Amino acid sequence: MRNPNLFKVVAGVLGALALLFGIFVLPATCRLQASALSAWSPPGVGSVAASLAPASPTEGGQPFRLAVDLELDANFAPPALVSIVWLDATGKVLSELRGRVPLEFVLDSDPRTDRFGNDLRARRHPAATQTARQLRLNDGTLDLLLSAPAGAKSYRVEALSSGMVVTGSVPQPAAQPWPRLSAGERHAEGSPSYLEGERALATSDLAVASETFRDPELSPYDTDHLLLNAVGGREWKTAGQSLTWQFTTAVAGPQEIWLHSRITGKVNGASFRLARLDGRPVTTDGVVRLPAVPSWTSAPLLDSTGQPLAFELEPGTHTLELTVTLAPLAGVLAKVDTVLATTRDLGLQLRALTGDTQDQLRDWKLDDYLPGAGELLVAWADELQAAGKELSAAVGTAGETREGVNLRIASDRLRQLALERDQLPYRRSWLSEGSGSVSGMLAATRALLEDQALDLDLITVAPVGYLANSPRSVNWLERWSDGVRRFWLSFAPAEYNRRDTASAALSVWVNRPRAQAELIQQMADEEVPELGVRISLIPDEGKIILANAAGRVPDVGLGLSNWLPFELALRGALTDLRGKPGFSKLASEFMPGSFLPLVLREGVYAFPETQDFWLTFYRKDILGKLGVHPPDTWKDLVNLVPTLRRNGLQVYLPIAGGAGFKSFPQTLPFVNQAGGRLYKPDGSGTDLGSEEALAGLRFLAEMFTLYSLPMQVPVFFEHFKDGSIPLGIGNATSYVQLLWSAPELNGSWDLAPQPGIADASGNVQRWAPGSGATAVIFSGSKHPDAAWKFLQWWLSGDTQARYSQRVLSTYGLSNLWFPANLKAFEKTPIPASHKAAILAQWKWLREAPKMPGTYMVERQMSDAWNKMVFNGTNPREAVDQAALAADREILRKLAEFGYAADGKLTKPWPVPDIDTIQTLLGTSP
Amino acid sequence: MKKKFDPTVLVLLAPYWLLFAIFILIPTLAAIALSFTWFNTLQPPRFIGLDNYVRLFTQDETFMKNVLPNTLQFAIVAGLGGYLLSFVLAWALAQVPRLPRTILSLFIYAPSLTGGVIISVVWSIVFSGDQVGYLNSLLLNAGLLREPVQFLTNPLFLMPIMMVVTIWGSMGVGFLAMLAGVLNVDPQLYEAGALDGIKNRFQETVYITLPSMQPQMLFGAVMAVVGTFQAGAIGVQLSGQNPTPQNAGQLIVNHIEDYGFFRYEMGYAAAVSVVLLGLVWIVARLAWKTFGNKED
Repeated sequence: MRNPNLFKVVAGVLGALALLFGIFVLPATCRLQASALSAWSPPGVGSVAASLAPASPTEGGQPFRLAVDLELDANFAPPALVSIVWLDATGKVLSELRGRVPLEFVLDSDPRTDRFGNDLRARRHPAATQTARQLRLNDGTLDLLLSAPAGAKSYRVEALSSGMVVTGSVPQPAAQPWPRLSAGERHAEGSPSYLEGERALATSDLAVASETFRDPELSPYDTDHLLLNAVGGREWKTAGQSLTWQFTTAVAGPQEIWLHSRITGKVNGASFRLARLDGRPVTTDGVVRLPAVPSWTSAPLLDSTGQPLAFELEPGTHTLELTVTLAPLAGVLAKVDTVLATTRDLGLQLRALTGDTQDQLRDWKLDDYLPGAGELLVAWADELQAAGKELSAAVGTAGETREGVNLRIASDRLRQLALERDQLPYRRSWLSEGSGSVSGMLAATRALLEDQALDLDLITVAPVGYLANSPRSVNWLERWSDGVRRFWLSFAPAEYNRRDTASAALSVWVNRPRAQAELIQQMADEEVPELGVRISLIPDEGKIILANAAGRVPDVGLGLSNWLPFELALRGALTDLRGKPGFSKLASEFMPGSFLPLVLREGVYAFPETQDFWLTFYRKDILGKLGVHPPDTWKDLVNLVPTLRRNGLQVYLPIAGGAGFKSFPQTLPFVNQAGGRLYKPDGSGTDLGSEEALAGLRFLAEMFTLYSLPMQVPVFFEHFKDGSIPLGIGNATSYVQLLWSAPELNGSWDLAPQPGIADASGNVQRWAPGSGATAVIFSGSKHPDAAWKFLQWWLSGDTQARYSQRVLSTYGLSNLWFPANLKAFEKTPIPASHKAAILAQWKWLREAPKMPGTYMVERQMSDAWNKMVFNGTNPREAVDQAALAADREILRKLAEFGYAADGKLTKPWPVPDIDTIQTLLGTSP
Repeated sequence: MKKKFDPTVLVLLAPYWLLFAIFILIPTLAAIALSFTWFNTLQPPRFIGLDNYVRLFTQDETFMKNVLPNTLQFAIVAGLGGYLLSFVLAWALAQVPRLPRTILSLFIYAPSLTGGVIISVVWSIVFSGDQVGYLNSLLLNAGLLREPVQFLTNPLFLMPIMMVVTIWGSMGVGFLAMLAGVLNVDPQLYEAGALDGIKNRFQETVYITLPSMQPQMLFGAVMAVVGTFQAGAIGVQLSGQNPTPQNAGQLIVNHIEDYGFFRYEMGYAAAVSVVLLGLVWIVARLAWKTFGNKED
């Protein structure tokens, strides 16, 4: 992270998504300097500057708001971050402050349905020009109130996110809150206006979307179809996300605002929203508290004393904006963060003191080693107790919240540890390791605090005193009959599960979750309606083989594992894509190494759809404290091991994860990096016996026999989180797990390309596989041309980028999609430094090429490693045995296909490798 | 006098024959038929005569070197061990009063009910190869180890662990039948035996209990044999994936799965399963010979 000040400035703390965005690090190029001070910069420049003119609203040191105008280009991905730089008279930078521009995404107003009559979510368009957007802090606090520091004469607004340009900024006075109406001014008149929650006018975040709840109490509702009837779900919960609705009032008079809503997943808690009516906060700080009620209820917006808020509205059009805010919890979050960081730190100090194993029989006098630890623990316990008090004051409900309980238990546990501190060395699981420890509980508390979820069905703006209730009240009989009808409907085959192959439409089988399949269907309907795409789900890709045997094949298959196309193609079930028009053009948008397992002889039978990566994950904070850098080569890594072990820390290699069988991603990188290859060029057998391959495999075994890296680490990211393994090689799954489950760690870890082996000329070879899902066309397809058109559309950079964006915005971070298409990957909304590391590693992408009998090579490599590590077999012997067994199987399999007879190769079997694949794809530079 | 054939017999037998044919006879015959073909599941099978069998017995190194010895070893230790242990436990349980007996037998029977889930969840944690695996943690804390042992990856340990876990879970129907058998022995026989000079419990067991519960012993033996020969999931579940490291825990059933679903050689897999069928049949005959009633 380039600027850690952000966290010091921002009082509140962000949710997982906001944090991901919050640490968005931008390419240096987009931080353009102002061309001239005291004048508006021409459009197209990344920053604007203005002087603090005497007549401006800032006169007399009054805090002011800043409204900025933005131009977004097609490459823009949220969030929009800007930096306000204060300059003195000479143009010297005094200080800097970061803020977030709440964008406006306009929602489509025309309703759309899918082929089953279910509602589709409205599409949202970011307006290319965003004018007069009020700067906000990331915690959703009302306005970013600016006060010029002493000596400041001008300021500059810089765009920090790529793909956007700041075109103007206007200082404005702080917005005036609505006045409190006294009881005498309250009288009822006129009729209420109803605003459906799901029909918002605009949103600040693509993630906030309309939802379908199967509850007849909501409006609209239909038993037979999925109608969108509320907004929220689990998505409208992160600070800064806002929704805007528009309504008109006919008669002047005081009005109340009622919400028909519910909050699930919170016990005795509350969610907070910032409410602004016509741009003005509804109270002095604008925050409204919504007590958690798990069932749908109607309630008016209340002020801090519990009185309903009322507003004197003129006839005409008004806007209501609700923004998620963490402002009331800022103090609590800050305290939790401090204790979380310090307990983790103490845990690491204990590790350094006691080493890896926890010897219960050894007595410690902790005060001799870590003097003052006891007082520290008590101080932290006090801090947490204070945080708990603050929390219950903010939430204001009678009972104890889950967060409150967690804080109390953590505080008690710290006190107990302080009393029995001599046992701390073997009670790390109480302090900092595992989900039951103090750190684990605080991390969980933090996640709970940041979750400000609310499901909103209906907003009613009603004259004061008008009984605002849900327009649909449902009695038990209606509810019961609805349940009975849904029970009967459940016997009909689920939509998207009806696999029809006979129809005239292009049938596409997708091996992905239902939600993603729906999204593909929607996009295909919108963008290539002429193909008549029908998406069906296959829960298990084994079904494809069975369907093939039964002669019922679809046209296209998506989401297949990358080993399957070769097996299917070998048995004649797939179409060669190499001869298709525009093949090379499309293939050039992918990494050539990712095609290696998809090639059979001279044909290419599938396209990579998604892509994995194997990267170095490292904890910047821990390695920084030890004064070491992430390793560039495996030699560097091995040299780090003594330092880490001295501090009770470990290193993780993927081969330590998973089961007894070690697959290609775990073994192959070492062979390739050492200069070895998998097969002999004529395909007569494996080339594992070569000196290079042997050196690679031997080194892999030595990591465990000589350097004693841990051989079994079931869950890497848990150890990475608690710091006991601060360095390891992880993949996309680890990446998503970390982003999702450890938002509190954001910024304290980073990615680097994985270590490699330096060749003779000193270049570090980092070859590694990156298997993802693949897309194929079946040879039994009735519409081969349409199928290819579909693939061309689906795999294109634009479609993949849009899909990636929509998956993320609709289903959240846990569904992060890593497209294999590089053009699309460049637009994936992940931090730029991570993207750079992934792209750097993908330059070294080299999957295992396949030939008949490849599985035997993989097994034999696994067994060779096993023999070297456990039986102490001489590496040469182990590898030769492996090569012999693999060769035998390859020749046997080749004989099946007529390429060998009597254990001898009769004609060469062409095997692709990294140096020939580009010629085959027709993409050679 | 010759009995007249009554056609209603056919009607009464029909449901049995129908079910037997659909679920047992036809699949078995189909497997035997497929074992003479080359079949890759996608293209139609091709008749190749005895090639699969010839290959199995002359060229399949893994089968001869690992799979067959493993299977026999596993069947003898886990099958016979489990069988003997069932009897010992059943006999011991028969000696305790009714209520504790019911509770204890439920405990002993429970693992065979939960089976696979327990194996993959409980035992993989017990034998996990990091420091927090129960066994490793115990041994490390006791100072017997300095580094965690890779119980499930190291070929040396895999087979013994498979046997232990299988025996632990093998107190199934056979065990219940034996318990019933022991309890069913007529007490008068013991009294008569005592008068005839039986001196101790061992003689009582050998001369009275065992002969009296011959049918249950046979049932238990057949169940144990079939059970252990069909067990294949355990090695794969413990070590994580088929094949097991260095084929250390490879049993015939794993071999069949390997050829059928990883290598797409259904014909060959069918041949291996026919061999398995033959093995089970031979051992079951042995059990009949030992415990079967001569009049049957």
